Amino acid sequence: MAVRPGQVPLKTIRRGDMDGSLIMVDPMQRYETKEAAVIVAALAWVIIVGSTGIAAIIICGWKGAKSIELDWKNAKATFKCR
Amino acid sequence: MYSIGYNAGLISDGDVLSLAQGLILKGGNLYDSANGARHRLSRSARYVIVPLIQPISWQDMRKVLQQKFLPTESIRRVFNFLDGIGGLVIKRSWTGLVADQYYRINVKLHLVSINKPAIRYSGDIRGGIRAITAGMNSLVGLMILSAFFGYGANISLATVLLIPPVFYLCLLLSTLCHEMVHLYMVNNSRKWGLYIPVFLRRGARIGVLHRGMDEVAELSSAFLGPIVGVAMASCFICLSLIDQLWFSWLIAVSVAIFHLISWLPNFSDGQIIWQAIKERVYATASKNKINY
Repeated sequence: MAVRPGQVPLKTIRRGDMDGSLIMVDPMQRYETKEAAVIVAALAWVIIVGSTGIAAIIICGWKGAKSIELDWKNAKATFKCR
Repeated sequence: MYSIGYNAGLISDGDVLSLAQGLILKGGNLYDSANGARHRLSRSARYVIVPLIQPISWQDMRKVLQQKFLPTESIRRVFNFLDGIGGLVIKRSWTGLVADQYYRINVKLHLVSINKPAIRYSGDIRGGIRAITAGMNSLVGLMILSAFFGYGANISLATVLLIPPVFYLCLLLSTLCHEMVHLYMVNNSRKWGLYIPVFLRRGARIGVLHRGMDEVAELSSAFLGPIVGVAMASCFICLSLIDQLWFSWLIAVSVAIFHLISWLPNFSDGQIIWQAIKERVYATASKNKINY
C-alpha cells in the first residue's frame, strides 16, 4: 500500500473533504489551529546557519573561515579563510 | 508493516493505537470536546473507531477489522480522517518507529509531500511545554550540528558550546508565552458550554485547537500572541551583558523576528489579521462609494 506520487496530504479537514457515505464531518467547526510559526522559522534559520558553516569548512578546511560576506543582490558569498 | 493512512504512516504489529483525549464516541457520532464538533459516522467507520476507545495493539486491531470484512480503502480513509483532526494516538515500538521513519524518508525521496501525524496535548502549561519541546526535537540535533559547524565561521569554542542551550531556552520560553496568550484568550472568551481547548502539533507546527471565538477576541489573540513572544525573547538581550554570552542579543533578535513571521498571511495569526484588514478596507471603500 505505497503512497502514490501526487497524492495531496491531508492538512486540515474542511467542509466537503470527506465522503459523506463514510464520515460526515461537522461543517460548523474548523480544524485550522491558532498556529505559531516560531519553530518552523527557527528550523529554517538553523539550516541556513548550519549550511553556511558547512560551506566554510568545505572551502577553507577544518580551520574554517575568518569572515563570510554574503552579497544577496548578486547571490554571491565570499569566504575569507583563516 | 502496513500503511494505515497518508500522514499516519506505517504501522507494525507491536504498535498501540487509541483515540486521542477529548474525542468521545456516542451513538453514531464522534464528539470533539476541544471545539464542540460532532462528526457523523457510518456503520463501517464506527467498526474502525470503536476498538480505539481502549488502547489496542495493531495485531489485535487487525483481527477485529478482518472479522468485519471492511475494505482496506475505507479503513485508511477513517485513519486519514482521524489524523486530520488529531484524533489518533499511536505509541510506536522501536521497530515500528524505525520502519515509519524509513518509509517517510523514502516517500520524500520520491518528491511526495507528506506531513507528520497530528498529536494532541492537554490545553494547559504542561501540555504546552510537552508540545513545544516535542516540536523542537528535530531542531535540537540541527542546532548542535550548526553550532559545531559555526566554528568554521570563526566563532570561539566557548561560544559554540553556549549557543545551543541559550537558543533552546529562548525559543522554548518565548513560544510558550506566545501559545499561552492564545490559550488564555480562548479560555476567557468561551461563550458556549464547556469546551476544553487542546494543543495540536504536527511536526514543528504547533497550534491551539478551540471553539470559534468572537471577532474582537480572535483579533486580539492574533496580535498579542506574537507581541508577548517578542517581549519574552527581548528579555534575553540582558544576557549579552555577560562576556561569554555576548551573542544573546543576536539570538533574542532572531527569535523575536521568528515570532513576527506569525503575522505573515501563511500562518493562522497572519490570516486572521489580514482577513480583518481586508474586511475593513472593503467596508471603508463601500462606505466611501455610497457617500460619493
